Parts: sequence; structure tokens; C-alpha cells
Amino acid sequence: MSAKYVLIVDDDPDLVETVSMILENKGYEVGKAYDGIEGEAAIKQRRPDALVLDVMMPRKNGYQLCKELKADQATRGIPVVLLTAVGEAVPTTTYSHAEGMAVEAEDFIPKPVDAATLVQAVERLL
Amino acid sequence: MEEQATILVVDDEKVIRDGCTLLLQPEGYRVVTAANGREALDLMGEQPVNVVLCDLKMPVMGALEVLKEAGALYPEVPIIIITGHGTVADAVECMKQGAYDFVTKPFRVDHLTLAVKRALEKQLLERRTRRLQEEQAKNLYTLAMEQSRLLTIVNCMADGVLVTNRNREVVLCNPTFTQLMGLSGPLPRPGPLEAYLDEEPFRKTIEDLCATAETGLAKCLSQEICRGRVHLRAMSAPVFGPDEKVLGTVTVFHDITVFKELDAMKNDFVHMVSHELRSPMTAIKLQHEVILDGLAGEVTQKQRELLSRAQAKIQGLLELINESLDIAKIEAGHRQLELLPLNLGEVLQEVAHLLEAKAADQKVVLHLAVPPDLPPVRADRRSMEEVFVNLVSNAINYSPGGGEVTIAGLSHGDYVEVRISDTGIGIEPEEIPKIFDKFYRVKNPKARQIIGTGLGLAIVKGIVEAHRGAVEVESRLGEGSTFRVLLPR
Repeated sequence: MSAKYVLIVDDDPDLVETVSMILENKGYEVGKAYDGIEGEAAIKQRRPDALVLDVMMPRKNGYQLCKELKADQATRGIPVVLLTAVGEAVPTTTYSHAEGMAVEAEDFIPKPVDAATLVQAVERLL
Repeated sequence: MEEQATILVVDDEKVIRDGCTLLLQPEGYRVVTAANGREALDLMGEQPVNVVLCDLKMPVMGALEVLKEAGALYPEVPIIIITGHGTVADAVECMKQGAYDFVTKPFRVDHLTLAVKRALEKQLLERRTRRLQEEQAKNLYTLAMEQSRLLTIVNCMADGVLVTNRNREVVLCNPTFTQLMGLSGPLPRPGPLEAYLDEEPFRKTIEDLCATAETGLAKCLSQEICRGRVHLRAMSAPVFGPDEKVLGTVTVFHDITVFKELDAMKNDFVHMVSHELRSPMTAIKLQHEVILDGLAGEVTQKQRELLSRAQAKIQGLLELINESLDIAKIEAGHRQLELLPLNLGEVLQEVAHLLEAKAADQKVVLHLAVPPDLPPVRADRRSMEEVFVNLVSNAINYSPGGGEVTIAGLSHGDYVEVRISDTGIGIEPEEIPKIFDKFYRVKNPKARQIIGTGLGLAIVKGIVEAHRGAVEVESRLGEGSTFRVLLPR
């Protein structure tokens, strides 16, 4: 059985690099993209088994991309975990857990995240 | 009671003077007499006289001259001419000169008294009329002054003012209003509301006020109006006439743009801090984990130790960010408190369970002494967890190995007390007033290696006070501290 392919989309290259090291260490094959538009292109090129998606990104944010994926019959099935630095601590933001649920993401983890939590979240999706 | 009227009788014949006096005194009048016009005028200069009875022909000064002089000096004093039969034509002349009436000699009693009575009535009537006229003039003056003053007040106001009539036409607005709306040039007055402020919800409000106010309900409607970047709070109320029907409306517009902008800026800032700081920290934290997990090559014992310490520092910084955001939220009153009946015993049990491992690590024994019948308090569960996690962790942190931390619950009728006591290092008396301040950290060499943000107790105090409770501390240096949280039931 070939390795599961996980795509990580985040505008912080350090984070993308580190997360991919963690996931690769767990035996996943990892794809990288650095904003919503690139993420979209990467998904078209190769359908991931799971998507780790940052919320706040330039060009197209994670909510937008997630909403589009869930609206499209072809990509609906890809499980998504949303990552965001803006958690419940912020009262009046447009980025919230509720919003994350509204775009039908499978999971939602607030940053800062530790390696174990991230790996668990990805494992749950697959 | 009316003042006694004074009648001046002027005649050169003493018998007439005496006769008149005899006739008039029983009628309740005060009577004074003069023998000629000159004397009469002198007398009028000395004392107030209501009515003058004046003989037509007298040696020193006759009635015509008296009429002329008294008419000029005392226009309000009616003068009645006493005349003989043969001189009616002269009497008519006197009437032309301003005499009020005449009586012919020899006069009948009732003629004389009637004439005097009528003259007095006339005088009274004239006085009343004059008083009314004066009052009216004064009222008009006051009204004009009031109006002018009101207009000046309205025009000087820093808030916009808009007044409509009951047909929803604008009848008055002040310069601040035209400035807020960016209106220029002359506008019709009264003019259609749309020409001044074309905002559907506002038009509806004015319409409602004009319509519903007729039921006699006084109300004041508030709404926010956004004009480009200007945010206004509009307070509208109906104006009632004396018949309690609505005459129109008054709306005051307060510019709240600055508050809106500040609020937005604050939210953006909180948002920015939260994202811009947490994101890189997440990367740093994960990078450390990757290295510690050996994914980037072998790690020596010394490297591992340093990285672990760095990890702890990062965790501390993340807590600082979270707590700063938290306290900002509590202070701004943004924190939503769900006040529901809460079993504190349950919460304390969970907190104790959560911190058991930490206590064991630091070789501190944790006791829980909460009676099962501790009454519930109205509180927000998450906030209470935060309060007690903070206090109990502090107690553990500041207790040396072998110490004890006790969590006790007590009921005091109207409120419940939770007591967290430790056998730790204690707090210097002069530091006690400051420990609930933001970013204050105790300067005790023994506490140096304890990681903290200096915000924990400020958050505890903020939360407890938001629940209308209180938090107090008692401490003895080297023996331990007791924090008491009092919460109303």
C-alpha cells in the first residue's frame, strides 16, 4: 500500500517545512503550497488524502478555499483540518471556530499546535 | 380687598365741598378738598387721587386749565366737571378737552355717586387693560428672548439637531447637522426630509413617531446611521402640543465615528497580535519539537536540555499572549459570562484532578476539602475553571517540595467562599497590595525560577469582580498564603 498523501497549505514556509518533516516522519507523503490559490492548483494536480489548511493567508484564505472545495462534488470528499492562530480568544473576529464549522471543515485546531496534536488530527481524518 | 378710593372735590364754594364730602364719605370714599384748580393740582402732587370732581368756574384756576395740566400729569385720573345749568355749553367743551363726565348743579345724590362710581370703574378697567398690555409685551419679549436663546443653544451644539413638523418636513436644523451630512447651499424650509437625510430606516422612524405618537406614548428611538465613514447615533423623539397631539419630531445626531474607529482599531490590533505573534511561535515550537524528536539528526544531551528550556520559554510567551488578550477582553467587558447555577465542588474537583500531576512533580500534596452540600453559585463555568486553575497552580508553584496545598469550600449564607491555602514561601506584606496588578511579579529570590506572566492574579480578580465577588489574600512570610474567593449565590 502506497503512502497517504497529505497536502499542507500555509503562508509561513517555516511552518510548512516543519509540519512536512513531522508528517513525513510518520510515513506520509507531503505536498506543500503557500497560499489558497497555490493550494487549489496543487489539489487539481494531485488529489490529497487529507488537507492541512491554514486560515489566514494572502490571495485566498483557508475558509474560502475550504468552502469552494466542499461546494465542488469532485473535491467534497477530501477531509480538511483548519489551522488558525486566531482562536476563541478574539471576540469580534470573522475568523472563529463557528466559521470553521460553517465551511464544513472536518476539524479545527488552534495554533499554537504541538506535533502530537497535529499528527493525531491527521490520523483521525484518514 | 380693594384700597379705599380717594376723591378730590374742587370747588370755590365751601358748601359744595362740604356737601360732596357728606355725600361721598358714607359711600366708603376718602374725600379731600381744594378751593381752586391751583390747590387741586398741588394736592394731586402730594397724594394719590383716584377721581377729581371739579367745578367749572373758579377764581384762581378753572376746570379747563385743570383738565389741561392734570390730563398731562395724571392721565389715568378721571375728572368729573361740576357745572351749573347755564354753562352746559362750557361743560361740553370740557368733555372735548378730556373730562370724563359732568354733573349739573344742583345735583342729585344718586347722580353724583353714580358718576363717581362709574369713573372709578373706568379707572380700574383702564388699569387692568394697561397691566394686561404690559404683561403681554413682557411675555412677547421673554418669548423672543427664549426663542433667540434656544436658537443660539441649538446652533452652538456639537451634536446635529433636526426638527420636523408632523408632515415630516424639516423646519429646523443646526450648522452641525448640515456639516455632518455634508450639505451645502440653501435648502427649502420647510423642506422634504429626503433633501436633508435620505436614509430609509430614518425616514421610517420619523414616520412612526409622527403616527404612533398620537396615541400619547412618549418615546425616544435610537438608531445608528452610517454616512460614508461617519457613524452617527440618532436619538429621535416626538414633540407634543398642548392637546397632546404630536406636532413633529426632534432628532439629535451624535458623532460616534471616533468610538467606532477606535473599536475597529482595537479589534484589528488584537487580531493582529493574536495572529502575527502566535503564527511564528507555532513554527518555532514545531521546529524545536522536530529537533527534539531527532528528525533533524542526533541531539546531544546538552542540546536537548537547552532546547527543552527554550520550549518552556516559548510556552510561557504563548501563555502571555493568550492572557494579555484575555485580560484585554475582560477589561473591555467583551467576555461573555454565562451565569448559570454552578456546582463549585465539581469544578474544584476537576481543577484538583487536572493539577494532580503538576503537584506530584513538585512534591506538593494537594488536599480537597469541599463539603458535598456546598450550595451552587451563579457563575460562568469556564471562567471559574480559569480562576481556580490559576490560584491552585500558583499555590503549587510557590510551595517548596514537601508542602501542602488545601482547597476548601465554605458556605456563608448569601455567598460561598473557596479558600486556597499553601505552606509556601509567603508574600511580603508590602507586596500584598500589588500582587493583583497587571504584570506584577513577586521579587523573591526563591520565586525566581517560577515561570509566569504576571497576569494570572489580575485575570482572577477581573473574573471574580465580573461575578460581583471578591478575592482576598492573607499571607505570612515563610509560612504560606491563603487566597479567599467569595462568590455571591
